[in-house]
Amino acid sequence: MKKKVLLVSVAAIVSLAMLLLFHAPGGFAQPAAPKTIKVGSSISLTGRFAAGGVDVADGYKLAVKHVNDAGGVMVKEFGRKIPLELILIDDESDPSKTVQRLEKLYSVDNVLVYMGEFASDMNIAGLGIAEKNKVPWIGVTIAVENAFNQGFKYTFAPCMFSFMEVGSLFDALDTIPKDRRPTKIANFELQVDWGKECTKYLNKMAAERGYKVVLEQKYAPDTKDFASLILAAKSAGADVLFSVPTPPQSMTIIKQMKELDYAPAATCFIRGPDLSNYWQVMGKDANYILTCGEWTPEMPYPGNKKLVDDYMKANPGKPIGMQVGCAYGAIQVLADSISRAAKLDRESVREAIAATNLQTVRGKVTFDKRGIGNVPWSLCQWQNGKLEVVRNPDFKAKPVLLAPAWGKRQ
Amino acid sequence: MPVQVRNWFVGALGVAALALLPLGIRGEYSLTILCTLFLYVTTSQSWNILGGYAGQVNVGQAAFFGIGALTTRLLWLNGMPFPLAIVAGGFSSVLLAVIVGFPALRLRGHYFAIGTLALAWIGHITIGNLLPGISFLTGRYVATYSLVLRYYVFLVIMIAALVTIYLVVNSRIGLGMEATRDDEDAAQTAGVNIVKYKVIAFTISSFFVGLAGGGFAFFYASYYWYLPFGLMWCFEPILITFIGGVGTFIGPIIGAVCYVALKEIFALTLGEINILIFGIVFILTILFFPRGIIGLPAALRHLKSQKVSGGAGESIGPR
Amino acid sequence: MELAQFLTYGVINGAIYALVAIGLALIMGIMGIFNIAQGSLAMVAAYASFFLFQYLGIDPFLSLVLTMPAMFFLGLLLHEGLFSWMRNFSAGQKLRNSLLVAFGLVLILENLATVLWTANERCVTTAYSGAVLATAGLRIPYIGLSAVGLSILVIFGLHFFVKRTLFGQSIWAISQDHQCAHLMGINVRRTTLIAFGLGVALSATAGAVISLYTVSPAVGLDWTNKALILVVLAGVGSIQGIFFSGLLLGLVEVMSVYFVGVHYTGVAGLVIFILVLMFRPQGLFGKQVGV
Repeated sequence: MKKKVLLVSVAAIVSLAMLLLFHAPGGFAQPAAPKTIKVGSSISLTGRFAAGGVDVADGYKLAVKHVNDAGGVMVKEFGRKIPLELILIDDESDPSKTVQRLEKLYSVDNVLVYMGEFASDMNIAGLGIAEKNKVPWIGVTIAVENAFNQGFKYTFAPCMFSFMEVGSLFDALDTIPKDRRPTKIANFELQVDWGKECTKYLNKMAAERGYKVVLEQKYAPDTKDFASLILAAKSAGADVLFSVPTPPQSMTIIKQMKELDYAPAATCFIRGPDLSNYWQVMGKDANYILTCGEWTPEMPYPGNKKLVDDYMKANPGKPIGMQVGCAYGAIQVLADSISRAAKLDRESVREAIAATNLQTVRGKVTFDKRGIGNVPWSLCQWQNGKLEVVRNPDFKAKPVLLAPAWGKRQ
Repeated sequence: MPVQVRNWFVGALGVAALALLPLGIRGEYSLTILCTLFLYVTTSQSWNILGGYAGQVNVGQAAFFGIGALTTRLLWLNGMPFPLAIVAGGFSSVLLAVIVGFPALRLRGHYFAIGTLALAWIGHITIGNLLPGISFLTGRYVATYSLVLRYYVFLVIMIAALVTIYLVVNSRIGLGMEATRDDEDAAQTAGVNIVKYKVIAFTISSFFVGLAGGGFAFFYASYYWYLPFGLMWCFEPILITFIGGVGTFIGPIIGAVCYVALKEIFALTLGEINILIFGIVFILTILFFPRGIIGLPAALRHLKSQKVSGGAGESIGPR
Repeated sequence: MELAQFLTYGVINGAIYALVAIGLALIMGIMGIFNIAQGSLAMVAAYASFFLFQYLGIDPFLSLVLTMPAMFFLGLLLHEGLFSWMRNFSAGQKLRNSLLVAFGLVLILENLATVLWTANERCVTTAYSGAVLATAGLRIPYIGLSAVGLSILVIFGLHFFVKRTLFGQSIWAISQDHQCAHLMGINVRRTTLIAFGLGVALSATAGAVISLYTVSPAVGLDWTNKALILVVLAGVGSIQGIFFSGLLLGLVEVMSVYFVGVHYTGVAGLVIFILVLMFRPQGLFGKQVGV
């Protein structure tokens, strides 16, 4: 019995002590110039979404390094440059942990701004916390428009959303001469919110722009067998295939399409084939696949060359993922906003972010009233081993290649 | 009984300390961690009464947690005051137990365990398909969000669970449950109504898990509807109870404190490899405490007596 | 014909599930060790198959001669280091402690794989990926055909091994009553060690096939869950039953497309599983003996 009392007391004291250590004074505004400007992010460095998480972390770190190499961000309020301090904490790809991390960044580290992370599951948890804590939040990959229709004032996302992804596909298809243009669309709808949002815009834009959705079929994130979907698309004569599969599904669907001999002229998987090693693992089967075009190392935007060179130096031999560029761009928006903010506090920075008008490594960024970024609607395609931009409003892109039948490919 | 009185006294002290805590500590982080801790203690102890005391290893707790969260969130966001919504969540979980849990009690051992896992898995997929989107707190809900309030909500739920379960397991019902656990056939032959005790355990377990789910729904500002149905909500309470000491009252509490604290410390200090180190520490803990952390005092006592008497005794450590 | 094509895939998928479950059936069903790291071990083996293909060009089915022994030795190490001390525990204690140790192993393997190999999705694409045997209007993928063949070979091979060879019979004897087995002269310690190694080696066969689909560090638990369902569906302790139960699950899933749609095939399989348990609580082929 004494042991039990001892145990309970010890446990209670230990936990209380640990937490007391984390008690922080309230408030953020400080009278003298801080040594660093703290920004924080909860990132999936482990777990299901670690692939994108690590890329986002790399992009953030590289951008912060470049900012600090130049002395830091010029802060009007104190008339001098102050370096950024980036705090990244793992959340195991678990949204419940995301909340804990963000609260720590808020009440212990007193961050000025939250930076987003890779996957929607966690980003969504973060949006609510950002709004509740009144801390500006800059996202890096989030495609769900609905999340920005909630009237939140502190959340910003300079990236492509569902309607932009779908729109970029139609933009790309429009560049194909009418006599060869594929117009019959099969939509495999992943049962997640942005999958359904894409469906909505697909149907709307197809009607407006002279295309036809001939098939709509649902599947879930755990689906591994796509035979019925593929056979249905084949018999409906669809020559465009659209979906937003999870990365493993973006591989199994293609493999099964080859087994069932279904090769639509255009296959657009927004997520999955945007992984830098997609061609490496899929080989020639990856040829002709259209995918998200948020950022590639070759984009002729200012700052890209330096980004890519430094990344290669730090990570020799590692192919550079799309998220690295997106994350870099997000930090650029951050640094620019801080430099324009009247004072170094959250409200001023928030106002500055909303007024952003900046050329970044991923193109020009402004924000609409909801915080959704106005970024170039861009699309990529795997062409003979390289991820080429086939549609971009700012520069001349490579032409879209239509896929021949499986048997006719080299 | 002096032992019981002392337990109540210690418990009351603990409750008082926790209740007064927000007066001294108001950091969001501290409160959030404690909310997480209270949540884990509740779900683990709720699992423990069914799995540890009554011996029915329920690997499908996420379904009950999830339904509690779903019910509470829907009711609360449609105007019901949150205390009622949370209690409704508790009852919805009991309803689920009646519909699918009780029939499942016909299964034994592995079959009950994996059968309940299948139930939770079905729930996860189904909710993911029916409600693939996000539940947001908007307008007045987010403007009036009070973390301190949520701290007390989780505290009250946890205390209710702990008190109820303590009373039950130290009563004749508790004896009946343990008899069911130790040898179902023997108990039945001795006239113990094993069905009754399994049902009571399941009801209590599901009610508090449902309440915990309700607390979850009340706590999170924005989350995907399917989040509380995730299978980790099945596994973690089991792991915590086992590592703390299954079938004991303190086990889940100690297990939850250590689990939450260690995970947090590692995540904050170890970066990319924090899960790796946690896994190693986890395994080391079992190697040294095969009966759970609760076995620490006994192990120390044993080591002392081994030194004194030089005897062999029953081996507790590895090999 | 569409139905026949679906059934073909049903058989293939079922055979793959069975391959993942067979190692668990041996380790959990027969040895009473709740090894929820089985899927994670298959993941490690899949990465081995992937890298052997990427750097040396060896087909995953052929590299089994390398990965199976490697996983066998890994299994020996794991058993000695992590599970052997539970040898004399009661069934309940052994189940509990092995569950905890295996869980720690899951975390370690996943994090290690992420750090070493990145979390990017991988798959093996051979020259014959996508190639099919086209007969009678059906398209039977060679990879799927090979997976079914491998599954039959492994499962019935194991069944034969356990029932007909002396060593296999000693494993079986230990699962019934290890005191008795010991008294009969069976070296319990050595036998369980080798049996565990064998169970882990079997995960290499699953890994080879998985690598031909997709693998990433986090897939371990998903495959383990599937394997658990299958082991219980077949009946804990059954080996042949794993193959037939796998087929049943695979076929139920593809047929359910007609009734509930592709996004609910997972649910359909699980519902059938639960229905089977309701009417046959010991599983399809289970006996009441064993663990």
